Order: sequence, then structure tokens, then C-alpha cells
Amino acid sequence: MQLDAVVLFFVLGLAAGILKVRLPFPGGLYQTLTLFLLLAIGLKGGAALAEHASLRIVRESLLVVGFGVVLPLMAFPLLRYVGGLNRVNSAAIAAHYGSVSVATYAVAVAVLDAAGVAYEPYFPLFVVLLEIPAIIVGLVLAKGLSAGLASRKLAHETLLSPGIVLMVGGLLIGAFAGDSLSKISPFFMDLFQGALALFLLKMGLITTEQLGALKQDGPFLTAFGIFMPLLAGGLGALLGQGLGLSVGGITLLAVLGASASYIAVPAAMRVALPQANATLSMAASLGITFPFNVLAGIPLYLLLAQWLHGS
Amino acid sequence: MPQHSRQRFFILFVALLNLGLATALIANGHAGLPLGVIGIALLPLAWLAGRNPAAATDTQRGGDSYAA
Repeated sequence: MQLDAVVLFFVLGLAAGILKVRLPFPGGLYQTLTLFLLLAIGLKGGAALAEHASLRIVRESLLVVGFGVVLPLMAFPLLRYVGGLNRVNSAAIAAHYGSVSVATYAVAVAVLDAAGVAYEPYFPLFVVLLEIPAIIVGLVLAKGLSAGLASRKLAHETLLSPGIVLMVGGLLIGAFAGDSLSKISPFFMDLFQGALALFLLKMGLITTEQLGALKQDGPFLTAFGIFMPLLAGGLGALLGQGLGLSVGGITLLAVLGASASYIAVPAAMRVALPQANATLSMAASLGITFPFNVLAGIPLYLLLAQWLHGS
Repeated sequence: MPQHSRQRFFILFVALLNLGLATALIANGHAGLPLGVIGIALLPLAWLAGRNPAAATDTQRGGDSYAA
């Protein structure tokens, strides 16, 4: 059996966390790696966008945004009526599950690269697009239609969050830099896998911290954190198939649907819904859904994509 | 239907879904073990949800987010 090296770093972090090993992982390094990954993903996508810009991408983008609206609408009733959570917490968690995890996306890309599976190179555009709609839908679910982005502070937090700015900035630089991009490619492209491995080591440690919260807050959220990626991943794969994407593209759209945010959405929810319990959302998205996707989900979505694609 | 029964059924459904997927994967020569383990691990949680319905209610504790 062969496991992806990047995923094994995550397993190492999990093991260290469970064994309560104090790994000296500086907080600043974690922030630096996050910044690096967001920029690198944006740059890759921007370079690809410059090469492949077409009306087809616009059509696909609109459908992907629609997908981002539907996901929290499916998660909300489950949380509210099966889980018995209050309206605000249901809406906040639903927003997390409608948005995407850049780290899960990065792992999926690493797995596809290692397996030699081709995918549409403009996918970082979809990552950026899927970050935002779920936040707005989550707010509407919590506060009603009038809420929207009425608050200037919230609009700023949503549309200009560090994650969005770095990825969109990377996309624009990648799209307009032309050949000069090759000057920074050795740093941002060649070191990507190593940086991702270190990042996942830290994520493994963080995941074990979040699991502690789930011990108190419920078996339901554990099941929800596993069910949602299966449902949303399946729908993402079907959408990818409908859009005529490649096997890698179908897999990545499934991964984007299946993943839950812990970068853009928590920051936005902290401003928009301060009464929501952030621990519940983070424990489910980071403690359950992220490891589920990394360890079991991504290979499953790849198989599903191959099956749908008939290859 | 009481809240904890709904939770129990849901957890049981997710457990069986994972076990079903694991079986299908293994039957077709793929690695289904992770999903099988998850399915089995979920089964006692269905029992716990009924035993401790307060576990899934909202505690208004603050929490750190890892918004980087």
C-alpha cells in the first residue's frame, strides 16, 4: 500500500497531537505557510487563466457559484431539524460547509499530480468563487433576507478577507505577469509540495485540539461532518460531469463541494454572527471533515470521477 | 419524533452509508478500509446520541478560529 507523502505528514501531526508531543511549531511559521499556499495557488490559477480564458469558464463559474449557494441550503435543515441546533449556529455551520477549504484543495491537487491525473488548470478561480456565496447564504439563513451584506464591516470582512485578497491577488499577478512569472516560479511552484507537507503537519496538531471539543459537543456533529462531504462531494462530481470536466476536474469539484472552510468563513462569521458558537463550526470542519476528506474522501472522489468519466 | 431519536437515526444512516461504501469499494478491489473503520466508529455514537441528548445542544462558549 502506498500513501501520499503529503498526507502522511498530516498523519504524523495527528499522531503527535494524540500522543501529546509538544512539537515546536512556531505560530509565525504556520501563518507564513498559509500565506505562501494561498499565493501559490492563486499564481498557478492566474497563469492558467491567462492561457485558457474563454466564455466557457464564465459559464462554468456561474454554475459553480450556484453550487456554493445550494450547499448551505442543504446543510441548514439537517443541522436545524435533525441536529436540533439553534438557528444561528445552524446557519453559521451551514456557511462553513458551503464554502471551501484551500488546504483540502491543495492536498487533492498534490494527490492528482502524484497520480498523474490531469485537471483543468483554472480551478483556483473556482476556489475563490466558492469562498463567498456561502457566507451570504449563511447570513440570510440566520438573519433573514434583509441582512445580506448591509454591514460595511461585514462586507469588508467577507470580500476583503486576507484569504480572498491573497488568492485573488495571486490570480491577478499570475494572469498579468506573463513570462516574468518564471522568475518567481522556483520559489512558489517548486517548493509548493514541501510547504504543503509542513502545513499539514501543523493541521494534524490542530485537528487533535478540535477533536476535544467534539467530545463535549456531540455525536451528531461527527456524523454530520462525515455525511456532508459525501453528499456535497457526490453532487460536485455530478456537476463536474455535467460541465464536461476531465477526471481531475470532476475530482477537484467534488473536493471543493466536500470541503468545509476554516479560513474565510470563521472570520466573516465572527463579525456577522458573534453569537454563534465558533467551536462547533471549527470542530466539525477542522476536526472531522478535513481529516475525513484527506484520509478517505479524496481517493473516493477520484474513484467516483473515474467511474463517472468511464475511464 | 424526539430529537435524540432523529439524531440516532441520522448517525446510524451515516454509519451504514460508510459501511456500504466500504463494502462496495472492497468488492471492486479498492481500498475501502478507511470508510469501513469510520462506519464502525460511528455505530457507538448513535447509541451515545440517545444516551446524552444534551451533548448536541448549543453551549455558548467562545472558540478560537484559525483564520489565517
